[in-house]
Amino acid sequence: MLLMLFNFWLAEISPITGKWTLTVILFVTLIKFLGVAFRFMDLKNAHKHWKIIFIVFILLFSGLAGLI
Amino acid sequence: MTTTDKIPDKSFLYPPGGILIWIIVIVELLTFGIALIVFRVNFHQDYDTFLSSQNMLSKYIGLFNTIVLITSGYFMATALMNIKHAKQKEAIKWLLLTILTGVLFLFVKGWEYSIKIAEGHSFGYDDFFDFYWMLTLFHFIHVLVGVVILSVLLLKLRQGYYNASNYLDVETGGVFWHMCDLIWILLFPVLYLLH
Repeated sequence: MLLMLFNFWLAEISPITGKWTLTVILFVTLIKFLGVAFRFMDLKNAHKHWKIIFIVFILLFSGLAGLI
Repeated sequence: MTTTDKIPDKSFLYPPGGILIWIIVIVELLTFGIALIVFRVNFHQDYDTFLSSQNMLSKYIGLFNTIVLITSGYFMATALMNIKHAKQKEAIKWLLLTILTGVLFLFVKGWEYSIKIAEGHSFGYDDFFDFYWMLTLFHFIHVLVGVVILSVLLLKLRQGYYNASNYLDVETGGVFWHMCDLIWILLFPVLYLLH
């Protein structure tokens, strides 16, 4: 929740701008995504291949969204 | 299979909630993920139009709904944990809270939609709002379906259908609910924040 508020502050309120803010927002999104998947969705109790699929997906998504 | 105690631990074919729902989750994430990447490409190609339209979005409403949905995910996880520990009354309470926060999300999102329509920013206004309506409305339908699924699960839970050794349906419904959460975690920063 704090990460999400930090993301919002960084994007909308903070005077800090630049390419790295995009990187930080996407990194925080990645952490939130994995946090919900592992803790709430019980990905931690799934087979390692499921974990790899989710991690590869979010890494690809964040990477592509950041590069464009 | 209805009794979860027969499921082999950490098998690829038997993830928590069953393999079918996990395949659905992967397909949904890929669909939204690709659509959001296409959105980013369009944003980059028509930066000024997309930026001015993005600035018309109610970002505090988006933030509020993000908090609501993540809180709802926590409630769902707590409800499932209580069923696993044979705490039926607690589980009913947490599942009801999950549904109520889901309904709150839908209500707030509906309110945001009504503001956008009143401002004239409906589907067809420009490319940005085409993406906005398509992606958020598709997600809205998922949350609506999720609320219906959880309501059915709540009814059956109250009737004593689920217990500490039979909770696979609740686990499956929970995975669907967390999928809505995961999709919104991708939608919110890309649609509302990134520019």
